[in-house]
Amino acid sequence: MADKWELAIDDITPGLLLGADLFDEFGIVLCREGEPLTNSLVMELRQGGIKKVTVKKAKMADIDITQPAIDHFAEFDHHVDKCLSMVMHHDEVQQISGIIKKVNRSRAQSSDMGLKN
Amino acid sequence: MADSYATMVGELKELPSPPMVIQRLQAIFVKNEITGREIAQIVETDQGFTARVLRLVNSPFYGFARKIVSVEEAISMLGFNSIKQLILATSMMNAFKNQQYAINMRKFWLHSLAVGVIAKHLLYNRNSDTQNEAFLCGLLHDVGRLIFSKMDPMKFTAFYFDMKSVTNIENETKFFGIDHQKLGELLAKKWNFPESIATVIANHHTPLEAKGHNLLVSAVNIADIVAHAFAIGDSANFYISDFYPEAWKTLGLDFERFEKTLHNALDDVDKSNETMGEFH
Repeated sequence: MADKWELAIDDITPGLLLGADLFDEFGIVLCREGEPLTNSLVMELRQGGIKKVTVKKAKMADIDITQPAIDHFAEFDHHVDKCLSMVMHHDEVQQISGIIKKVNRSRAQSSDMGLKN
Repeated sequence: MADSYATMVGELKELPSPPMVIQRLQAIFVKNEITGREIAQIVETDQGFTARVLRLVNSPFYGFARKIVSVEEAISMLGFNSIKQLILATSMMNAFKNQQYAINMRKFWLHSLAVGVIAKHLLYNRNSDTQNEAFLCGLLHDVGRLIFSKMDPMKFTAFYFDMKSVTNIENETKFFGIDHQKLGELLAKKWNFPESIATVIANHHTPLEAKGHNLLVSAVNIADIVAHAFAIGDSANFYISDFYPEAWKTLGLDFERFEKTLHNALDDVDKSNETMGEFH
């Protein structure tokens, strides 16, 4: 299997890294090779009209063990805030947003417990 | 330049008409007295369609403790109205199957299914007919987007993915000459769908404009917001551009109950993988 390959933005799975620098239409670098393709990054690329990217698999040498693991909760919270940003001025939406984040954490923790059991 | 409304409506003629089995069923649905056996006999003339109806009836969304093995049994368990709507919804989803669209169909239907499941759970304290109706309304709420995607894939992609703009009803109307709510409603009417489903399709982003069926419209409107916030599937829309406190109030939910409802709904969405194959 090749080290790098092109993948549709919809088919990106966790654990992949960007396989080449990514530029916008004006030649400005959007992301550098090696950047982890997290859910929030994929969403942003998609919103930016990117349809395909070159990807590669992470190798041990690519993983910076001095950096903390990706905070999936923070990523999810960021997505919720962005998605609801235009309606967040409603009190109800602020409460709904808080509950959505809480439910996400609770379900993720239950899922971890299930795996451990 | 926006296409004219008349052109769009004219092009609807290119869309599939209801299949023969649905046309025969609609002919008997208008009768005052109708038996489950009559409906079952017509449905069962199409074995593939029968199998799809039964798979949906036996999916976690209907929650029967035992397996339903015949259409007649499904009618006795679900009731006349629910089975009628389920048959219509199944046939419409089938009409969009195995075709090329400028959208990831699996993600599209996953989003739609999540909206249906969440809408059903938001109405947890209503009767099962209303809950089942909410599920099907949610499942079909964005069917207008599929029509955009089918009719002009390049334009669809340009609008939803290249414009980098917030997609809302006004922008859609400016760009396409019609919005996905109205387009979906036209299809629902062409297929003689129940008024409740057509109304929800026509107003799921504009609940205050709905003429009737406010509970269903509100449930699908809020469920759509929740499904987007949880990033379940993809309806080619990212930002929520409108929220109507009135729709939230119509549901009569307190926030504590809402939290429980989300847990229950997401449990059901998690079980959806097996059924997803029916949709795309």
